[in-house]
Amino acid sequence: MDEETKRRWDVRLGIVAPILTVVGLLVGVWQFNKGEENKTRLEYELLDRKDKIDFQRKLWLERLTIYKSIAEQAGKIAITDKNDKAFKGLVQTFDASYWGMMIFVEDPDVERAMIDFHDEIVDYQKGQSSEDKIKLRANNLVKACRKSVEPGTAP
Amino acid sequence: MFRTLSKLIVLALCYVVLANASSFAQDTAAQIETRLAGSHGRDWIYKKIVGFLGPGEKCEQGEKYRFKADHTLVITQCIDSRMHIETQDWSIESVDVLETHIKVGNNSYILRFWDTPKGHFMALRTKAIDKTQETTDKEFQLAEE
Repeated sequence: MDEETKRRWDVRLGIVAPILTVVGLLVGVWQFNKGEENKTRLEYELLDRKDKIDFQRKLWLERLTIYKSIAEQAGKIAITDKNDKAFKGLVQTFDASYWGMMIFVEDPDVERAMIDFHDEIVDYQKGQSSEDKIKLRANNLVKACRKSVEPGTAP
Repeated sequence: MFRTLSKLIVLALCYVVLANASSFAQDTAAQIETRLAGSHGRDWIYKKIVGFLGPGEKCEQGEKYRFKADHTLVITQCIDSRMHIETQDWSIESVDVLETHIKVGNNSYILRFWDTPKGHFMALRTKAIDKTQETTDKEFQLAEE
């Protein structure tokens, strides 16, 4: 290799080397930014998932509390005679839960059991049903509630 | 001796439990069919039929269902001042302690009976699927036989 060729190669390398350095730097910056972006996205996703689980857990605990309250209400209605002064008040309390908090937490099976119990109360008040049937409906309702919060259903 | 006695006690307890359980026992499908249709047929009035005096079959109002023992149902309705008669089939679909399901034509209902001093009553119930819907009853009174 003569001097002229060597000089040409030196010039070429002198031009290419800084370009490669700049490209390398740019790729490095891009990679860093991309990594940071992914990290931030993953952190957000994790937070989002955690929020959802927290919400579902709170809802499950709330469901448990409301189901316990409904079970108590159904039990009281089942053992109270319709001519008893307290009966009307118990039914009113149940109706408030029926159209209120239960809608917030109930699943379709519990909703059906609620409708059945509600209809049975209406029939019972009209003299078209019996105490035994009210008790059976209460039993079905409480079982549906229990099934809805069985182990494994909690988030 | 003690073993036999304990067995007897267990049996007695079982009897008590079963006797209590039988207090929730439901009517059989055959009993329900008899209650609905009698031995030949029974008329259940939805709206009392009011006819006009004079010739022809003109009417003012009314609707009655005649459930026959052969599982046919004759529906007599007053529509536009004229009596319309329609025949459908009926059958008991299922019976449990709480609900009896009956099929009338192509529709399924919950069949309910109750008695008051005013008479014997029956209702065909269409149950609400969710809370936003209404449970509806079509109530009938047994016509005097």
